[in-house]
Amino acid sequence: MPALHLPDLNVLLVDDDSFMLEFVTSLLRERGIRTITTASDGNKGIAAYDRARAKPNLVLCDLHMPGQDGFQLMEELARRHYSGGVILISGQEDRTLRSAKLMAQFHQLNILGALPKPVTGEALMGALAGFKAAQAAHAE
Amino acid sequence: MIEVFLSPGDYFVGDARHQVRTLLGSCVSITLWHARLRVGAMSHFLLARSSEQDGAAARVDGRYGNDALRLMLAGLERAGVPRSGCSATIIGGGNMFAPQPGSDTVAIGRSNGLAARQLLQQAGIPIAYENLFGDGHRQLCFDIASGTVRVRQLAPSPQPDPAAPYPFHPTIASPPCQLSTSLT
Repeated sequence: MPALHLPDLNVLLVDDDSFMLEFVTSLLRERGIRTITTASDGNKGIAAYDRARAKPNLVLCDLHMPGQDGFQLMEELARRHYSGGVILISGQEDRTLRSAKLMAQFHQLNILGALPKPVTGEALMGALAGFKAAQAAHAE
Repeated sequence: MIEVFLSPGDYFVGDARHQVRTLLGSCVSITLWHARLRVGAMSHFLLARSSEQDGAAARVDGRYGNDALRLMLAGLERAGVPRSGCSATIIGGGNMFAPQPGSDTVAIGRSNGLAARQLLQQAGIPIAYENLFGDGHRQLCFDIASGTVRVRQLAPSPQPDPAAPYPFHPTIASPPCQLSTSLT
């Protein structure tokens, strides 16, 4: 698999907070990423995933959402053998993020980072750097 | 002296007992200050303006610049402070990363700074001082008793040292924001 450049990423962003959808989309666009699909809960997120002809290679998801939450979304992604990167976002305490990270690892998802809200550009870019490194290692 | 620290999305309205601080990257703070009444307000917003339609159901959200200004003006009005006597400063809007090749998007920091100017112009509030754009973080301290705005800009690399001591190093002076080289 060739290493990806940031602008080549196909991102699925799932959060019930419309501000966060807008803010993280702006951060990603600022980094040159063009293909971004947003969804306001886990149900809509997995529906968008299933609908997509070109599957996302990066999923950013909030953990706590009405309807299907981030934990359930991860289960659905694992069921679909999703092999791209996952970045978790949460306004909850660190313990919740750590639990979610463990759960994602249990499902053999490729967790790139677990970011507390409010997400900063630096934190997001740090997680994306991990993604690029993983891609590069995979390409070797 | 009561110190207040603003996190992203917060705003504050207070009197001469308060000193308000924050740390800005691409975010922008607007300060409003009434010189005679010694009452001021400060925001810390992340995005220029809400893209949602205005309406009764729309939530006013201090993370957006337009909403943050509305919240500050409403707070000042509740405190009996007319906007007509207020002057403003705009701080922040820094570039946190080198421009990305292929990106034709206006950087978030620049968009925030430009929006702040426009919002204040629309509100009819004069801008007394601004310290915008460039690279890296800014530490900001607004002393409501004196109207002093002190800014210290930190280079993007190495990462800012949270333990870095004052004094700040303001770069531009314009009344009524009195500048000093030290808080001491």
